[in-house]
Amino acid sequence: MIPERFQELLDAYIDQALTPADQKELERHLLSSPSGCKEFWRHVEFHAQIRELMLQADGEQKLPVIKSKQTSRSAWAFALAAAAMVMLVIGWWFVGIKKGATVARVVSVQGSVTVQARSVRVNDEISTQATIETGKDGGVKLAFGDGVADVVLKGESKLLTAKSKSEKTLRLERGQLTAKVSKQPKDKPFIVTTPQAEIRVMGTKFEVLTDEKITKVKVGEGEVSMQGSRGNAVAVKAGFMAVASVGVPINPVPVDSGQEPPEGVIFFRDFDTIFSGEESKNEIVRLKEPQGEVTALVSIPAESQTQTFRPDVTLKLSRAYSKGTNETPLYIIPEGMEIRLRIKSEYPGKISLVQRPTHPLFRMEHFYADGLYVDSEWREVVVRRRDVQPNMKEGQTRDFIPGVEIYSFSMYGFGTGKLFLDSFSVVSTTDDSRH
Amino acid sequence: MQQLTHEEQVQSLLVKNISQIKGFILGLVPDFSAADDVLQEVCLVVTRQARTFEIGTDFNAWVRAIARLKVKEYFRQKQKLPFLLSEEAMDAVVSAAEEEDHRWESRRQALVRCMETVAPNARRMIELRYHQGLSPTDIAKNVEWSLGAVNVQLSRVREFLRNCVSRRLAMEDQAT
Repeated sequence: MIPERFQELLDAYIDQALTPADQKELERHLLSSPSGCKEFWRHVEFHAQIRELMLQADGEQKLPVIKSKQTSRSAWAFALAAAAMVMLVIGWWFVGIKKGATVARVVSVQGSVTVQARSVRVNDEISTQATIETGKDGGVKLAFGDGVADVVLKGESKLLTAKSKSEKTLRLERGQLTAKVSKQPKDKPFIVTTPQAEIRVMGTKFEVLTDEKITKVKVGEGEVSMQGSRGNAVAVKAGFMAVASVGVPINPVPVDSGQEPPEGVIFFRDFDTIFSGEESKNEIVRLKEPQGEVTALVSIPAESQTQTFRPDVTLKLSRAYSKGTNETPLYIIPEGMEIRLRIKSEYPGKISLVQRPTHPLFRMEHFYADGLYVDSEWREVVVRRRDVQPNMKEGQTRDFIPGVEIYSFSMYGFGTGKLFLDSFSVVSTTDDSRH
Repeated sequence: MQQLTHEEQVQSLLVKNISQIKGFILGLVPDFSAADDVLQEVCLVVTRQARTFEIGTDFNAWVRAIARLKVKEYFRQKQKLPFLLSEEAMDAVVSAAEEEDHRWESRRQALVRCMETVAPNARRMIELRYHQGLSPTDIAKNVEWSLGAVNVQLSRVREFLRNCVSRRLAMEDQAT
């Protein structure tokens, strides 16, 4: 069989598009050619590597740097950036690609920019239900409506326009967007949605920062309405900031006037007094589950003992081993996990706690809690995870693989100054009752 | 440095070789979601049977044997999905997977570099097919192209990437 034909058949095999005749031809070749079988794996590996690279690229997307060349102190402006997270994106996906009414015009183009996978030029019209994408070096400026908004999209971004001309809505799936929006009637705001939030703008000076986990809004003047994946919309007024993330209610907190809130740093008063273990400097936490007991060691990096200002410290669940009597696999009920910490801060404020998976099998699992109040008094804070892991079916359990790092935890504060952590534990719960 | 237990060593091997294991499963189950399901099952078995693996022997061969059984089991359970390769053809390709491939990582690195040079249109095709897992038919509906046009575009970008990878590997060979 000529190589090109073999390649064609293998591509069709991976695409599950083989006709019965194609399949017979492919199998005949594989059965008669040992070298063909080896080549088979080379082709399969190629497809598998592309798949892995695409998934990794999405999972590792970094926080985009928000730079606005359009903003000025006296101008109405806002900056948006969002990155979608596979399996945790809650929202809708625009599939509409029919050519509809014109909603915007291309003012300028730089580098790689496409609409519906086709390159654009200056003065091109953008219709409803369009998908605009910019490459790494790409940038495009779009003028929406009759002076409603000027939008600049750049740097590996993806933007979707509204379903109809009457809707003043944009969906930023990922990337970086800067916009200048004129004053809008209250009953017809300009709306921008991200994977984590919907932001309604009536003509307000505010800033939006997002990464793949959270959307943060800080309001300088006026007021915005912000709605996350759950709960009602929340008004965020001037001088306040709010955070939206999957499953976490939005809770505005005051912002230091004129300044960014300092991020907290984990500071351990004394390494030995914090930990209960006698033989090691690690805190021992217990994960209780029905078929045995898992002990997990939480190792806290030594750097945290210093006074170096750091935005957060990562607590790693570094080891877990089974103490089950018959060494059966251990199960973590996906709906139940409780994180307890005893904490205080230099100043009153709110802290955020992020739990990230570090094992490839748990790649898409994520938990985030925000708006946990702390002040100078020691507090027991309990965070309960209630969401089902999105990559598991309801009622399904998953083995907790012993000896392998699964999660890392990090913590940071808004306006809290230093954070002092006295204890930290993770417990899996088997109780189905919800708190 | 503390010595790893037997189970920890097996887990370490699993994590280290997970990409090659995924690739092997995909070859037998050419559906991304289904391959992920089988991979999870394989990893569970590897964990449970860690003690039966002898450290120092061919780990990937051991896992491939487990994966082969799990693929058969999977297709028995999902009866609506026909075998895409006959049992005989599947056994033939599995036998050919025994040799360790020392250039796997080099090809992967070359692919990373080549992906950076893919044009946005082509990149979109790759994203729809490999990231979102859409079939060419679904892609055609999504972008409002004919199925033929989508297949041509996919074929071109794959060819571009293959050629790019080959060139990079050839350059690497010349340099060493």
